Amino acid sequence: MELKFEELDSSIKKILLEGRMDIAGAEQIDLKFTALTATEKGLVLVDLSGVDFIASIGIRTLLSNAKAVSLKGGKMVICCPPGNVAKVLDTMDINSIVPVFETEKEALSELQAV
Amino acid sequence: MNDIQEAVAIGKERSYSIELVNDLDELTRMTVWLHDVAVSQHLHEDIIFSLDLCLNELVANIISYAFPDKNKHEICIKLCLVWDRDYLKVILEDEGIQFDPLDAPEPEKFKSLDKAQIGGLGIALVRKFMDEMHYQRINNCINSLTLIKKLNG
Repeated sequence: MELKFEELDSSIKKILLEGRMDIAGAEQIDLKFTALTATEKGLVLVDLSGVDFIASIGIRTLLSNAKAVSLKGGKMVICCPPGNVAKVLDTMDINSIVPVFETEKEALSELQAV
Repeated sequence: MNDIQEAVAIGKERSYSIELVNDLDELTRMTVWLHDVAVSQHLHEDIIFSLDLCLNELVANIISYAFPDKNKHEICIKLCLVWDRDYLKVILEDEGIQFDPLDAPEPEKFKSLDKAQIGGLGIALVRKFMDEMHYQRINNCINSLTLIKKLNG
């Protein structure tokens, strides 16, 4: 997996994930992801548009990072999961604890309202 | 193709199998194998995703928990495509400790992010993405799990 990171204006970190979020993929990004979410209070947008597969290990990665952000007083949201990835998140009711949006625009307005 | 030949072809069960050892690196080899088989049989991408997800979850569980002795063990996956009934059957067999995934409790509903349990979602996903799941312990030494996925709907 690949993790790309950019700082958007108004102090939002955008994390773009690409590849398969299976055991091997999660292992490739976990350290980098944690380094970005565990440090300071922040607003984090995780873009899943480049993720074509997600297993429970990938959900674990997303939830543990969302928890870390929340513990620091920040907020993490997810956007743009492709069809089957969205179905996995929906099946597990992830949206009830980490907001999931179809578009980046909706996700950003959620973060900007914080 | 005449009627008789066609009937034989329709009734034919095609099966593919792979043997893996209990090492998490084997999941990558399994995934490549699964995609090769699925693409060669023109399976729909949603069906391929479901199989990919469920096999990754179940085989990862077997590799991680079925063999406490840490010795090398084989896991056999047999993928059967049964054309005449519009479903696909996957048989997963291992010689690990007895484990029936159907007995696994459903994960608790999330109450809040801070209190959310973030493990134990794998088998719940398998339940949702497969249409049927049957377990049997054979000769008190083999876990045999059969998964059924309907190809239409």
